Amino acid sequence: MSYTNGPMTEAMFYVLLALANPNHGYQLMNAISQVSNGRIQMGPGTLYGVLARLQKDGLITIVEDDGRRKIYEMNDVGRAALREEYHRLLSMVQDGSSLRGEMDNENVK
Amino acid sequence: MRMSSKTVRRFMQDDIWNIGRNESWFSGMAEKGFHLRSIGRTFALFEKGEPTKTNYRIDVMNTAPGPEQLELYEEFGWKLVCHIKELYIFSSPENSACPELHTDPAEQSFTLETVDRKLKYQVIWISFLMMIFLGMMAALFLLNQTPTLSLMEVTGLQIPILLFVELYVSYSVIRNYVSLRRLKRTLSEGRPMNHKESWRLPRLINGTISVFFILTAFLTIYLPVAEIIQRENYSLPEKFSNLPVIRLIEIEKRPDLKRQTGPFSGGVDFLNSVITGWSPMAPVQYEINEH
Repeated sequence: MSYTNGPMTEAMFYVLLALANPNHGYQLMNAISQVSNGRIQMGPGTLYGVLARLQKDGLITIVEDDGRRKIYEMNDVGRAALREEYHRLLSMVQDGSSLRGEMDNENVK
Repeated sequence: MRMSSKTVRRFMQDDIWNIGRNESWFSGMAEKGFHLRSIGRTFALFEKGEPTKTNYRIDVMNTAPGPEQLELYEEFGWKLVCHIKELYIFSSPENSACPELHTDPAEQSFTLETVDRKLKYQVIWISFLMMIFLGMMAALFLLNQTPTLSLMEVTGLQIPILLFVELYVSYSVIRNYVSLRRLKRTLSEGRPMNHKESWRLPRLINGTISVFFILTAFLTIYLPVAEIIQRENYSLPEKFSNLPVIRLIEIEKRPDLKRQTGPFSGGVDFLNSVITGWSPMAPVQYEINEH
């Protein structure tokens, strides 16, 4: 089984990235902030929406559920999807690199 | 000491899937001192208290949230107020400046997918039923040899009234679906939901339409009852009556003809009787039997 639902949203990409190690909802918020160098401050609604979708698409697995807290982890399908998305984003950046000088002159970050 | 609280019900005039407008309405009510406590398909229940500036967020969750999720929401300043099916309503004081529940509109649009599918089937079903209903109504009306006359009677008049009510039910289901589709499109384009959408005029318009159709639906029950109440049955006098009709006796002038009397019930001669009727289209009706 592989992920075929098209490009990922930014939120989905970062939640998956933060789930490289097993994590639960609360810790995930901090992990996402860390992995994005503080750029992403994700709302809890978005986080749980992404978790529900990743679960439905079979990209993550619940490794522990004590009834109060669930610990999630990215599985092999999720890892493959993340790798594919990473390469897609990399290609986009490379394709846009021809504009690099122009962008720098306009101070576009 | 037990504090007494006063609760008020308000009619849910707007489409439930007009999320931004409903959130804004709840905030407007809180500003008047009415704080949301529970919500149903038809009514929302508010508790009277001090006027406050409160923000509300309606979150769509296809599975019930666990304790950790609700704790995290509270940590961010959003407290669960109530829920109806997959719609969970959270509130937060406006001045607390707590972070938004949803920070990625495109991702939020995915939370509406299941309900979008559900409503789509509802629209298909209601349209299909509507077509069958329309066909039945048309057949009843067209196969009737005296359609205009049937409209003069209450049973005949109920057909177009029922059709009107059916049309409204279909319209409200489709309108709700359109609201959801519009919201989903806005979010999937990356535009955040407007939580301060103006609610006064749309609520007034939708409320007026709803009340009109509720009254029309009520008519289908009221008309037959009114008809029975207005109905009068009495024996037809043999010679003189003040009925606004010309009787055969007055035309034929045949003194040799004798009246035949029939079975009596409650003092009324059934072969020679007057039945008065009523309907909105023909308020004065007489049915006369004379033998």
